[in-house]
Amino acid sequence: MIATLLSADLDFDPVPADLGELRAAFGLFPSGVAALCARVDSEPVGMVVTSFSVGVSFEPPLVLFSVQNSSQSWPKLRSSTRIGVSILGEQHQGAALQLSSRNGNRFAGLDLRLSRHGSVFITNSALLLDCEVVSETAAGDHSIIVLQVASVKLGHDTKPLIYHASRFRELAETAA
Amino acid sequence: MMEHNEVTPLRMREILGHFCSGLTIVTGMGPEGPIGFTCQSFSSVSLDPALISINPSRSSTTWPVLRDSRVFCVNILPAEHLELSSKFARSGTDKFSGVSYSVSELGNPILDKALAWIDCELFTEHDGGDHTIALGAVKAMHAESDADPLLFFKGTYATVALS
Repeated sequence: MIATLLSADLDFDPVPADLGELRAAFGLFPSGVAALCARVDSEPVGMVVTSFSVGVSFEPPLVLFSVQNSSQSWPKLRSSTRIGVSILGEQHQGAALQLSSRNGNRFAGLDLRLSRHGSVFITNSALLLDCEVVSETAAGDHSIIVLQVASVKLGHDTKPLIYHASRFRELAETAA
Repeated sequence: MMEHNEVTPLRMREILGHFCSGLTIVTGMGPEGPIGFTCQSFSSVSLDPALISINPSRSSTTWPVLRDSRVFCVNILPAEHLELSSKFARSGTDKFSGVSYSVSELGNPILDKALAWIDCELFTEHDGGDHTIALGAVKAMHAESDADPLLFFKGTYATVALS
């Protein structure tokens, strides 16, 4: 039995030649910053993702993100019926770092709103999506999580925070 | 408690346009030459193995040809490729006329001045409502440029500034 397991372990996928270059190439796609939060056992639980993508589907409205298989936050977060997605605004750089920190209270000092379904939102975000998990698909060292949008709220005056090339950026008009 | 508007399909596209992200052109080789389409819904998925996702619309006429070829290349667009993005978002035109590109090892067009290109083999495809979720296994990629990226936000093009 152990021998079988060991031989199965040898069946690895090849590691990309240069993980650094892979990260660099992936990072050149600019993206909004999404805080995914919910109340679990009376406490807010949350994580930040930069792999968030809309336009998966408009009818039904589906969005997706990828989460590392080693994530400790996702197993807690997914136990909530609803998950709040806050697309962070350009004033939320500190909040983004705090919500993704490994140590300390991720929610200390943040202005939060709770929905009746248990979703937690960061106030003054660019866009709020109240979501339910539709599917989880294993994909390498991550899983792809598809969420269905149940309700929305627009932050009309908030410009979104952008993550690009491992830095926070702000929206600007094109020269053209 | 917070107030939320109920989602209607008609409003959904406009509402989700408030999510700002970059733009890509997904390219490949069809029976009659190079083909491609503009795709906003790109996402990196896994590092080991290296996987990315794109979400082509079920109404796309280009994606079924790329699916049949089993390979495609994702080109991340710089701010200066604004017109190219619009051109590749329209169907029924000769998208590659006047477009400069080289050809990847998998045979896919790499657009000149792309910020980065990611050459993929189709890994799996999953149901995603009126779109599909296509996973690409990365076979080669290169970060080419530190130019400013092209962004799409509320139906218009934008770029970034240092914050």
